[in-house]
Amino acid sequence: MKETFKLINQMQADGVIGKYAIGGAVGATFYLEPSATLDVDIFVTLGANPGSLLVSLAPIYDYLKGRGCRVEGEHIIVGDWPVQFLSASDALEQEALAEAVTAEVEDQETHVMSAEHLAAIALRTARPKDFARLLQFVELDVLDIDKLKSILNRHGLTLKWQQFEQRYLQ
Amino acid sequence: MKKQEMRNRLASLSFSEKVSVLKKLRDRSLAIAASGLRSKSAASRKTVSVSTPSSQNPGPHPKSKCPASRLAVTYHT
Repeated sequence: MKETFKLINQMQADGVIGKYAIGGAVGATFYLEPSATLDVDIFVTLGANPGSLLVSLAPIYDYLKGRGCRVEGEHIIVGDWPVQFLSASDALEQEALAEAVTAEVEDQETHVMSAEHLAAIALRTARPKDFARLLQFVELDVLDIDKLKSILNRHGLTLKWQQFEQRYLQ
Repeated sequence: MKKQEMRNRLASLSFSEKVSVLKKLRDRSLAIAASGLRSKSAASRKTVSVSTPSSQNPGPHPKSKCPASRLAVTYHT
């Protein structure tokens, strides 16, 4: 994964992407026990194309393909990991990106979403594996509950949290 | 070592160490998938397609490849 983040950091330094943060299972692994995953989710800020409201991942793919990476379905293989780039498209994801914490992987600096933002995104996404991850966060006591509730309140997820608490924590 | 102790120990590893474990887990999953064991196992399950009314359906997750109106539910039998 060192090569993966080295190339992503270089892409950021070259101005192709703005701030980025690891989310998903790999992001959660920063705080929790490792769990099986096949890819790395990278949330990025991207500028809209001039004259267009659409955000395009093409500059990322063009940059990486020019450096030997190959596209496989919805992923691009960077180093030895399939990476899925996701545009931080709403207020919660943009906040998660802005408040990401700095981490280090094999001497490469990188950025990971905070545990509370990962938990909020998992709650919103609401697949069974997201609830399982959320339970891991709770069981390992890594969440700052006040911070989490503040995020949930800001992004209209308080009711979902109450339902999650009722279903899984009581 | 108890299960919870093991989980706590794994959680307390450095990110680099955890990433190394992730890679092993991923390689194991890919090896299992390539061996055909998973497809044999899947064939012994019963898969049921469930149609949901669109009014109750929030739509697919961005990472989901499932059509919003049809959810495949797999039961272990």
